[in-house]
Order: sequence, then C-alpha cells, then structure tokens
Amino acid sequence: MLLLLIQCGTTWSQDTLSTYLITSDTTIEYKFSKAQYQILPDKTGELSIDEVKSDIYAKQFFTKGKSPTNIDTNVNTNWYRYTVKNTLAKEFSVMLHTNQDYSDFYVIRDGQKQTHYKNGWLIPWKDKDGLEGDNLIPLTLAAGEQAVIYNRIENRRPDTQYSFEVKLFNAERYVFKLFKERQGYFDFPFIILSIFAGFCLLGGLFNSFLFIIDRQKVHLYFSLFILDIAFIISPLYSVVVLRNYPFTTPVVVIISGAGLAIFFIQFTRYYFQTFINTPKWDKVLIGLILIQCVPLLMLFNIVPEGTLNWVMFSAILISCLGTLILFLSLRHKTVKSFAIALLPFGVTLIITFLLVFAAKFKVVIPEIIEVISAISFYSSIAWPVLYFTWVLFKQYDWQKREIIQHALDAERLQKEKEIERNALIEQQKVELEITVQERTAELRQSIADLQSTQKQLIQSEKMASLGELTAGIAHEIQNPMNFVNNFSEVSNELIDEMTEELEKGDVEEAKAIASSIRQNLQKIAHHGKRADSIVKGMLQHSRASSHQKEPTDVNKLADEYLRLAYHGLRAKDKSFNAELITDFDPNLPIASIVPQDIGRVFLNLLTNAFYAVQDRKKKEKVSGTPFKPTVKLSTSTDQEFITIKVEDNGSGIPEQIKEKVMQPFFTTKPTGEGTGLGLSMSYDIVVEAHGGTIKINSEEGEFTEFTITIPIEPKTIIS
Amino acid sequence: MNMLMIASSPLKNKYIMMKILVVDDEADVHPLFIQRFRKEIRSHEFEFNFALSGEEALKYLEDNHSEVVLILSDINMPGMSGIELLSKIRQEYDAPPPVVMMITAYGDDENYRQAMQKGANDFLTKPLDFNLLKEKLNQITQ
Repeated sequence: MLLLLIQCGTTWSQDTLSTYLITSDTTIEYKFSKAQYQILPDKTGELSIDEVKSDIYAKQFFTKGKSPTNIDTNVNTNWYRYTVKNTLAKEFSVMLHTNQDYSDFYVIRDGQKQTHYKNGWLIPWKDKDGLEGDNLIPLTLAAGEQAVIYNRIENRRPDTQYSFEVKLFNAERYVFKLFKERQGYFDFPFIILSIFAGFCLLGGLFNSFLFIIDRQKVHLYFSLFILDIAFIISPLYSVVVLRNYPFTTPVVVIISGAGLAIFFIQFTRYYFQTFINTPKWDKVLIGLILIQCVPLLMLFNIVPEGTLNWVMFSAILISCLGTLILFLSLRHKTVKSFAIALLPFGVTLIITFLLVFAAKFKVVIPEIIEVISAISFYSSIAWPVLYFTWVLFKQYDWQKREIIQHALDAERLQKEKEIERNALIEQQKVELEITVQERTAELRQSIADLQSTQKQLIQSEKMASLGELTAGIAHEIQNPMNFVNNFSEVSNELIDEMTEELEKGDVEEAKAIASSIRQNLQKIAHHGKRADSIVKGMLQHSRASSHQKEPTDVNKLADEYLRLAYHGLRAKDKSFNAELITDFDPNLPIASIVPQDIGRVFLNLLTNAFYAVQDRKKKEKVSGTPFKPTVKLSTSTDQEFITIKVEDNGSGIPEQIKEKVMQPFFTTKPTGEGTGLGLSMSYDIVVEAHGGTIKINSEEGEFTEFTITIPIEPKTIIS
Repeated sequence: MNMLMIASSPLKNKYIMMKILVVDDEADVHPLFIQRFRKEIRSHEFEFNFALSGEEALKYLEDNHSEVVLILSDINMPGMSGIELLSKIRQEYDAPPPVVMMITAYGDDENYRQAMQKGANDFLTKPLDFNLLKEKLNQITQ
C-alpha cells in the first residue's frame, strides 16, 4: 500500500501534489490551493479514466499554479486530480461540487474499489448522482481515510473553465445552510416565479382570447410576448421537462429569448401602427426583429455566450425607447398609455440604482434592499402586463362599441334608405298613375282613330266594290241608252213617214207605222226604266246602309248583281269569259233582308268567284289544259231558310288559309286590288246582321263553293 | 276614185245587195236595225241577218260565209266575246275577207286598240249613230 503510494508519488509528475487535509468540521467550504490539485487537458476529450491513470498520462498532470499558461481555453475537457484526507478522529462527509456542464468524479480510496459519480448542468436529471439540483455529490471519509479524486470536466462553454475552483463542502453544514436559505423546502423564488408565470399566462390567455374574437394582431403579439415571459420565468418547464433533457436548454433559452424580443417589437409595431405612422422607424424595428437570428449562432459557438442577452435586451430597449421618444415628439395619443405601462421599468432602474448606492454605504438593511428590488422587479413586469391587458381590453371594448355603433348606423341608414325608397316608390306610383292616364287617353284616341279608320275602310271597301261595278253599270246604261236614243230617233222618222202616208191617203200603211211607233215607244220606256233601275242600284250600293230590312225578291237581287259583277269584270278585262249558270228556285219566298247589304255580299262572292276562275284560266293557259270557266249561282229554300250557293271551278282556297279568309284585311289579291274586307264584311252582314251562316267548301285547284243561309223571317239578333 | 279599185272591189256593183250580219246579245237590236234601215232594206241595198251571240254568228257564217260581206258585232257578250269572234273570222274566212265593224258601249282606247289589232275594219260606240253608220256603209259600197 505504501509502496503503491510511493510509487504513485514518484510516477506523478515533476510537480508535487500536496494532499488536502481536512482538519476542521466547522468550515463550510474547503477551498483547494493551487498546489493542491493538478490539471490534465484532454484535447480529444476521449481519454478514459484508465488511460488517465496509466503512466503515460499520469506524468502529464501539472499544477495550475506552476504553469497557468498551459491551460488551453480551446480545450473543452480537462482532468483534475487531487487528494483529500480526513484528519479528524471521526467519520466526516463532504460534498463534491461542480458548476460545469459535465462532471465525472472517480474516487479511489485505500483498499476500495474505484467509484464513479456523475453530475453537471447538462447531465439529465435522472442520470445525476447526489443532490441533482445543487450539483452536489456526498462523499463520506472514515477517520484518517484518504482518497484520490479524478474529476473529468467537460464544458460546452470553454470560457467557464477559468471560473472553476476546486473545493469541497462540509456536507452537514452546507446542506443546513442551503436549507436555511430556502426557508426549509419552501422555495420562495420558485413560488414567486410560479405565481408570476401564472399571472402572465392568464394575461396571455386573455389577450389570445381577445385576438380570437377581434383578430387584432396587437392582441396576438402582446399575448405571445407575455406567454413567452410566462414560459421563461416559469420554473415548471425547466424543472419537469428540461432537467432530464438539459442539452436542449440553450436552444430553448435562445428561441424563447429571441421570441421575447420579436414579440415585443411586433407588439410595439402593431400598437403604434408604425408601418402606417412612421414607415422609416418601422423599417428599423423590422431590422431589430431580423437581428434576433444572431443569438442562434451561439449554438455553434460562433458568437459569445452573452450575445443573446445583449441582442435581446438592446432590441427591446431600442424599440421601446425609440418608439416612445418618436411618438412623444409626434404627440401621438397612443404614447401616453405606452409610457404609463413602461413607467415601472424606469422606476425600477432608479430604485435599483439607489439601492446599489445605498448598499454601498450600508444605509439600508440588505433584506429590505432585497425586498424592494424584488417588488420593483416583479411590478415592472406585472404592471405592463396588467396595464396593457387593460388597455387592449379597453380598445377591444371600444372597437366592440364601434362595431355596434356601426351596426346601428347601418341599420339607421337602411331605414332611412327604405323611407327614401318608399317615398320614391310613392312618387313613381304617382308618375305611373299619370303615365297610365296619359296612355289611356292615347289609347282612347287610338281606338277613336281606329274606329274612324274602320269606317273609312268600310267606305273605301264600298267604293272599291263600286269601282268594280262602274264598268258593268256603264255597259248596262249605255245599252239601254242606245235603244232609247235610236228608237226615239227612228220613231221621229216614222212619224214623218206616217204623215206622208196619211197625206197620200194610205191609211193602212199609216196605221202600220203607228203600231211600230207604239212598239218603239214601249221599248224606249222599257230601256229607260232599265237604266233607271241600274242607277238606283248604284246609288243604293254606295249609300250608307239604312240597315232597314225590307221584303226582297232574292232571285231578282241575285240576277241583278250577277250581271253587274260579270260585266264589271268583263269591262276591265276584255279577254275574260265565263259560263254563267243560274239556278234560281222559282218558289223562293220573299225574304226580309237589307237588300243593299245582301247585294254587297253577292257582289263580293261573285267577284271572288270570277277572280278565281280567271286566275285558274291564266294558269291553265300556261299549262295548255283546256278549261271552261264556270260560275254558278243558285238559290233554294226550305221552310225557314233561303240558301244561296255561289260555285266556281276556279283555283280554290288552299287548306291553310281557309280559316283566315273571313278575317279582316286578309287578301290573296295583289296589293291595291283588294281591301281584304270583302269577305269579312260579308260575314258581318250575313252572320251578325241577318243571323245567317256562311260555309266554305273548297279544294285547291278544283273548286270553291260558298253556301249562305239566311232566315226567311228575321230572328231576334243578339248584338 | 280609182277605177281599178272599183273594179277589184267585191262591191263594185251598186245594185248588188250587201249582206250584213249583226251580232249582239240584246234582242232589241233586231227591230232597231230593221227600222233604221227600212228604206235600204226596201230598196234591197242591204240585207240584215242577226245573231245573239258569237257562237250563233259563227254557225251562221259556216253556212253563208260567201254571201256575207259585212259583220257588225258587239264586243261585250256572254260567252264568246266580239273580239274572240273577230279573231275567229280573221283566222277562218279570208277569201274574201269580210269587213268587220265593232260596236261597243265601251269606247275606250284599250278596247279600240284591241279591236283594231285583231283586224277590225272600224270601231263604233253605243249609243250607235246610225247616220254615221250609213255613211260608212255607203263608203264601202261605193
């Protein structure tokens, strides 16, 4: 054993390592002098305890005091070696302590196996030995027992190597001290922070709620900002989650820290609406947000440890103060509430400054200083949270009122519009009424015009049929006139001759001549009457109908109009020729009719019949088929009715227009040749005025047959 | 008067009786002509025959066409018209062609033109002026 020790002593380096002797059990901290421990930098960080203990490396340990320059700050891993001996006459417990990221303790005691303890900030909680939270590992040494301790320290932050002190704690006393400091297990800061985190959480949730309702981004960012504060200060997360995954801590810290600045600046931007009010300053704020990416570089050790705090706090401070000053100079109304919110920050600064000053001169009791600083610190956070929440809620409330007001205004506006619309409708109604009246007047005028036009048309139809008659009438007059003139002239001559014969004494001859004269006179009278009746008929035809029914010989009327119609047409068209067949019932009773009206019907039907046969003749002439135009007029009777038939073997009426031929203004004749009123008027005369019927039977290209029935005794006609 | 013309005329002999056919649907034309030309008939200058329609006239001509030298025809008649009759006469009786005079109640241009076109020798209107007619007949006989 001793040999081993000596051996060890010789094998250890040129530096002599003095053993640390524990001589008192009342000391709390046992600090090692520079001569009492040795260091071995491990550049690769891969050395094992066995390798370190081996001869090669054992010699390379050196005391810090002798060659401090040898400590390479770029080396992450260092091995510390020291020896401690309990010189007390009793068993004594000490605490191995570390404030580094990873710490491995290898304890080698006399006659015992080497034991291994782990601790450090980045060791997950469950892997830690000893008191996890305080990075303490208890080590109990028997009276006079000595132990060699190898402490491997690995650090992600090389600069902290400097601050490393080798020391042990008096286990009983140190734990007792810690316990006292924390007032038992009632961890005051822990609770305060928890309460605070809860407070911030509530504020955040409240603002989130507002955001969900009104979608105002200022609520969102303020909510995120205070939720982030809640997250950072809440011990819950770091205790429950992070302590088992300690290596995630830097990432979480950086992100939540950068987030804090980002959310605060965003909140400021939306609160002041800098993008509208001060676009240039807004660009600066956006720049400050972008800068928050810089702390991420800490993860790769590119930027120093303190970057996060610097970047974060400076960004918040710049944005806060800058905006405040800018809007103060602009005398913007929002600045007041912002300033009020930030007031405690300023107060805290002053208080802190005063306290530091006071502490220096020991004017105030330290505990009071602590209390005051704590109050000012927490209030400087709590106040803005509370205040902004209130202000934002006020804003929300105000907006809500505004929305309600808008809705009310809109409703009122709509009502006004409706009233206006109603008034308009009313006015339009009146206008419409006037228009309707005007239109009605116009329509009445139109009807009156139409009626007068109709009258004129009927008149013109009469005249047209008269035109058709004139030629016939001329012929019918000229012929009797021929006889009247000539018979009267010849009678004159005969009288001279008669006188001569009487003078000669030839009485017999004179008597014969006188008889001739008488005959002639009878002829003159006959033809004179004939002309007279023709003229009368013409006058009757053109005169407005008296609508007086009078007993009439229909056969005679039919014959008269047949002649008129035929000669009328012949006069117009010399080449026209047709066979006229008349079949008059000699027993036809005298009927009570309006003769000129029925005459007009005859004329219409006959004219149409002649037109039809003439039309067919023209067509047959083209095709060369022999055709004999025939028009037949017949009368018959039963006890009640007189039936008149007008038949022709003309071109017929096509099936598709049969329905239309009775309609007014319907005509198949070329323009100017027919008024289109003939059949319509005939219909009116026969059906409406006489209570009779008109039937059409026709085959296109073959024949047409109009059958008219007229009651012998006038019926009561419902008009 | 040209002697040659007189010699070639079928009516060169003043004392040869002229046969005249009158076509008219009016039956009273018959007594009228008889009375009006009673002197001429008595002196056998003219002989009158009457037809009440174109068809009747053609039928008469079929039997006596060589004798008839003058035809007086109405135009407006039922059935065959005077113009049609004229056309038929001009088509069928050309040796010797009879003299045809149209007599009508319609003395309009259209009627006149049509009649002359179809070959009428003269055109007279009703009421008939018998003095004028006699003059025209005398012209033909001379």
